[in-house]
Amino acid sequence: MGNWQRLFDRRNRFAWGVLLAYLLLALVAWYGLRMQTMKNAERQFEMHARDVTGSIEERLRQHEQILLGGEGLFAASESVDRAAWRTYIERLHLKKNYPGIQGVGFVKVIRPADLQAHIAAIRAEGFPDYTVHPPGERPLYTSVIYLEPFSGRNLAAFGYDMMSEATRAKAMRMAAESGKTTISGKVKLVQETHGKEQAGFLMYVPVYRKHQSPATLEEGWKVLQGFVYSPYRVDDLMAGILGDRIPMLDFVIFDGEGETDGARMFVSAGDPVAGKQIASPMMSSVRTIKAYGHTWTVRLHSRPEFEAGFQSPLNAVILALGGGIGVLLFVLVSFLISRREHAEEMAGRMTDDIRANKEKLRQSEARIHAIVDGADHLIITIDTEGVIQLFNRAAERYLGYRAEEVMGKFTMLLFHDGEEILRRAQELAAAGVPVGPDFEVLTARAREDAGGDTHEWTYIRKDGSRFPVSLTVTALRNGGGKINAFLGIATDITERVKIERMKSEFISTVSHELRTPLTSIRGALALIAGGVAGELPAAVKPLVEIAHKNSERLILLVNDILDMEKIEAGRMEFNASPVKLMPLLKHALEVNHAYAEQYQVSYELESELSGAMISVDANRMMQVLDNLLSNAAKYSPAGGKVLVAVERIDQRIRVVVKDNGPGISDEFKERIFHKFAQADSSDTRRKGGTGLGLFITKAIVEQMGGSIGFDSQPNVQTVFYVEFPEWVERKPPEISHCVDGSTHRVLVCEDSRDIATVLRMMLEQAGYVVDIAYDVDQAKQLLAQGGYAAMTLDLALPAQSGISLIRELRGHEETANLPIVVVSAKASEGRQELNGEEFRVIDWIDKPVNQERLLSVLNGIVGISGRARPLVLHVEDDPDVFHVMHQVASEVADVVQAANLAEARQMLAQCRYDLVILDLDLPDGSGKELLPLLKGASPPIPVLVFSVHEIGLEDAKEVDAALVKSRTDNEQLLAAIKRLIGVE
Amino acid sequence: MADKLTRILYVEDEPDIQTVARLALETLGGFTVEICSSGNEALSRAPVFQPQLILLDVMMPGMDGPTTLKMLRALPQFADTPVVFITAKVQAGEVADYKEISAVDVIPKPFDPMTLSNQVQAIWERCHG
Repeated sequence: MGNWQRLFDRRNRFAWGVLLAYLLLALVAWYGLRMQTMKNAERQFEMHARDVTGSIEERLRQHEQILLGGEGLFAASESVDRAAWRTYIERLHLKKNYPGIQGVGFVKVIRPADLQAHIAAIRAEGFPDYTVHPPGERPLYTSVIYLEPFSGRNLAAFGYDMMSEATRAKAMRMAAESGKTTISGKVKLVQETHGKEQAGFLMYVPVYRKHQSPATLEEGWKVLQGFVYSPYRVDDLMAGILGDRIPMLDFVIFDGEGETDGARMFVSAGDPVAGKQIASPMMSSVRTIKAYGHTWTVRLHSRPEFEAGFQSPLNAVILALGGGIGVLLFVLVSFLISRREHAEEMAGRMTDDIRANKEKLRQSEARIHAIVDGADHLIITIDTEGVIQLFNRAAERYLGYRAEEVMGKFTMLLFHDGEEILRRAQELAAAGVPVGPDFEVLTARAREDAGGDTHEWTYIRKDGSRFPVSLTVTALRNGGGKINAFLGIATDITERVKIERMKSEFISTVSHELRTPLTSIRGALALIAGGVAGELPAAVKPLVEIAHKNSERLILLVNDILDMEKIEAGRMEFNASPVKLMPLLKHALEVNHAYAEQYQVSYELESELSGAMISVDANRMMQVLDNLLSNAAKYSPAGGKVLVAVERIDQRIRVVVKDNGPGISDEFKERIFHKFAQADSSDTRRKGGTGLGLFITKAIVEQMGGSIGFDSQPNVQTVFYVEFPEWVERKPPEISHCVDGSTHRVLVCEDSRDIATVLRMMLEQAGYVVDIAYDVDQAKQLLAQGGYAAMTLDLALPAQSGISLIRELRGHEETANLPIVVVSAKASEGRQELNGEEFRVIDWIDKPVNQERLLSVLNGIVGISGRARPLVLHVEDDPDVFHVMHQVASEVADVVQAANLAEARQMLAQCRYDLVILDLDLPDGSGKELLPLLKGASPPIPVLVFSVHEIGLEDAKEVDAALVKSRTDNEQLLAAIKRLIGVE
Repeated sequence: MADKLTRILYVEDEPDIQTVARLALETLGGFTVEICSSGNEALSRAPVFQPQLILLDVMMPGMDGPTTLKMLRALPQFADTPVVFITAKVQAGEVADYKEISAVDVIPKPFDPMTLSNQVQAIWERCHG
């Protein structure tokens, strides 16, 4: 596998180097240590060897001492008898003090002449068997006469003539002649009478006659008395010398200087059986012991016990450890190298990947670029501030702006129609999406809808010409889901619009063409059937009625088919606006009343919700109600009653229509909303209708944001209902209600109609009354009428510049103090131009206009100039009553309306009112609920109850005045208001 | 100006519809009806007939209804005369357009001759109520 191959890869040579170096190091260390050990071993070995030979020499000297002692005994005494000798030897405690010594004896020299006398003498001592042996004629005899201890083996030596044996004789002669102690060569002792035979030798000390020291060799012999001697069994001697010590060495003692088998005297216990040496001793040496005229050769070998001390496992450990660490290091280094290579490889791969990805990205970008630029759609992206970030070629081509002219500089409003933006802002506000008339109009829906928002607009080219587009705006989000840009793709729909117009015209024409003859037919038949042309013959009348009825059906069919065509083409137009439901429903009931009567059916309104509002197209809603009501009547039994109810379910308003007709069978339930669906085909003829009614109704309801449903128990009750979200007025945020601009008139001096409209809308939303002057002349005219709280001024005006207008206005007494807010793309330049001139300009605001800033400035101006008139809050749901109140009270105060409790609370939280006029019956409760809030204010706010009911006594204490609507005239009302706000 | 409505000018090019309308308005409604077949005719007859209310068709050969209305408005005595379109062209946008050019109401075709008089009377009352 790759792993193994990698070990032997050239790149791993460093690891190999490390391994080799480490092994070498381990070897050197091991070798050094071994050398050291060997040196130590040698020293030790020599020490032990010296110890061995030293011990032997030492023991021999001790033994000599004994013999010399014996010699001394002879020297000291006239004669030494057997008893004295015994005593001497016993005193020495040989066994204890000199282990290994076989015995100590005295050898008497006997001249042949004295032999018999000697034998006799000894025998006389009590040894009748004594004789000198071996027998034979010899020039000189010696005999062992004393040998202590005189027992055992030693008895065999009694009487032995040692001179009869050459080896002994040699040593004896040498001793006799030199007068010195000698030892013999290897002999077999006569004591070897039994047991294992050991090598033996003897030590002799000559004993001369008293006071006679021989001067010459011959003389020696003459004065020689005998020898004190010791026989040695070598094994026993050595055992005595070595004792119990753990032997570190083995050694072999050879007699003489050679190492021949015959000369071997002693073998220390290498192999106790064979006496063999250790096969291959670690160390070996040869020493000689030269003592008492004799030489021993000692060969010494190290024993395992000794070697063990120097074959410490340390060496092996060092070698193993060294090797081991080397291998480990090798593995480690290999691993690191491999890791590094791996990392380098990976880095390389990643770099390649990144490069590839970059390339891919570049290609992808290039592709996208090509797509974006090649597209025939205007592709524009804007940031969250609305500023254009991308502007493709098609956008350049269609709009006539170059990308660099607009990117980063303008919002998309640059080429939008300001009026359209305003209208759309109003539409969105009506649909519950409060949005200012700025680029948010384009993006508000896209923020909420992931699928984007598609809307049709008119785009204005740089040259001022216009063309229609369909613009889809999609929110672009970052990874966290936060919107960071918007993508707008606009399609030129000039052609489509043209075709649509043609189609629409065609439908309109066809519709007209069909209806024109129908108008005549139906009109004529209706008149005839109605008897306008006189009484008809009985046979003709039913026929005319058939024709009349079918002409009616034909009209319905034409209408329904046209509606269906519009629905399917998605071209049914809806003008949704908030409408009050109840008046609409009541009107529908009225309209259908006559129709129901045909079937002898009546309608009954079971329950109503006054004030409930829904955002729908009123005409289409009528069509829906019409359909439900006529269906219910049509299918009710004669004399039946159709019940109508209005309910609030959560935040939805539901209109329910119930009949007790035959109902809807299960199989029909599925296709009841299909085109041309009727329970059975005979229905069409029997009941009339086209079978398109519910299909159209459902489409209309759904397009207006509602839903339709039914529930049927045949012949018991069938319920159809439609429901729509309740429309609740949503106020644009962050616009203060405190400053009621109804008396604050602001003049907008601005030549661009679009911008002027935008400004007007911004200010009107905040409650200001706005007049627009498109040029300086108009401005001067309007200002001359007076009554303006402030003016906004564009600097770049057609005939006269804004700056010169400011100078001029400051020159007139009436306008000298008019607060002016400059709203201009050149605001900062203007500020410089006016630098140093003490004209009162409240603020300089750059375009595009920041609504908040503009309002805060104007609100500030109003605050500075002080509220001239008291502010009255009228909590009242009936707009007519408020209208009257407004007219009455505006003579002395500004009046604002809250249509329900919730709104009132919100408004009260935002600012202080000088008076609150309360209606008691409000859609979401009684006006009395506000009393704690009003009386708890500091100082308490005066309260005037203006209601249809008399207020109770208890409540009367809480309020400052109470008037009943039907019993109060305008003068009384005004007087009460004046009194409460303290105006006379 | 709470005068009773009596004099109605109806401009309509289709003779059948003229007949039906005349029957409906004169016989059933009791109005005095002057019928013109074109915008031009209406412009020349109106000052003579002095209608209190004018009913106008939209699609007519020559001068169409809206143009006729504009021309009538140019005549001082008809600057405020209520004008009602009776037309089959009643798509939402179209109706808005008619009102934009000062039509007070629109009666869609086909109209019901039995109720036409009531409709017209109701419009009149709303204008002068």
